[in-house]
Amino acid sequence: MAERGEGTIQRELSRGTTELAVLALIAARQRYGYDLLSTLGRATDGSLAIKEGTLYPVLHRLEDGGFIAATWEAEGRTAPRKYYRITREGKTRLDALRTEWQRLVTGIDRLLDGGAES
Amino acid sequence: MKETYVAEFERWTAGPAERRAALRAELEEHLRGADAAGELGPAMGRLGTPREAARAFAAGHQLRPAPLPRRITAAVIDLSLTAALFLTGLLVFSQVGTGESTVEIFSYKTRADVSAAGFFLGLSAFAGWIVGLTLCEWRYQRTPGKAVMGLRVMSDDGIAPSFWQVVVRRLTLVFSGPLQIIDWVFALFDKRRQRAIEKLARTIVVHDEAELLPAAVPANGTA
Repeated sequence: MAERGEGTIQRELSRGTTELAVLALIAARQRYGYDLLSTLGRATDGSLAIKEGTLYPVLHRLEDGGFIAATWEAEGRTAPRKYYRITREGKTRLDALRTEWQRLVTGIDRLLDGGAES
Repeated sequence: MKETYVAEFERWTAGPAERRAALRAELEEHLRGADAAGELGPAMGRLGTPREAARAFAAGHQLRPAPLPRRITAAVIDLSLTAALFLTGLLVFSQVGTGESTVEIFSYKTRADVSAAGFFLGLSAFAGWIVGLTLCEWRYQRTPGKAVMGLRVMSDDGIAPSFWQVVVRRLTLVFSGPLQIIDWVFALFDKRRQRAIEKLARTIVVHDEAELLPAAVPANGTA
């Protein structure tokens, strides 16, 4: 089997975690698209550096699902920004994703440490 | 360059004017954020072509397929207009030259000649109309029938259909009788109400009013 590049492995591992990461960032405070994109890359040392083509569909799905809400705010600027904030349903969703993530990480850690053999 | 990019992006967006404006506003807002961070070039590079960018910004919003009765009504309207155009051409030109009327049209003088000319002109009108319907779907994402019924053709990824997608949709004309029915029966059982030919063309017909809109553009409309 052909050896996979580091980028491919990173993409596969980060797939499915984008929603959790986006919700976590928005839960902390309301954010706009470009802010989310740059923060995701910066806060995760590039391991969750995603493109616009990944971020916006996730944002729209979360918005359609009622997990986040979007509002345009000007805040003294000439051009307004589209801010996303988390909803009550979003907080519940974030808690569920966080629990699942922690279970997965614990399980994988156990496997990597050879714990499955004991 | 940015303005051209945004204009081309908007050309690829689909749906009612409000939806297209909202998508454009979202892109402009994103590019402004990138520009302020001094990363406009890399951001546009990541976005890809305007068509790819339109796909990225349209994705994630659920498309609501149009109800079948509404679609059938739109098809009947288009078909009636097509038939009316063909018959008008046929009747008008085939009647000239009968009875007292011996008007010379082009070089046609006898009734038989005029009938042949009428048929030819009727057929041309019909063909022109079919080409017109195709162009309407490509340029405006709707035919007259669809406009009356508030329907719109989109690529199934939520952007405007390409020229070849609408041409493939129009290939339905080569179907006749039972094949035409089978094509529509597909839509009955399909989750996205796509006919067989629409699956092939990767297009979907949506109802403007039922379509989910992204967050509205701010009042000043300059987002």
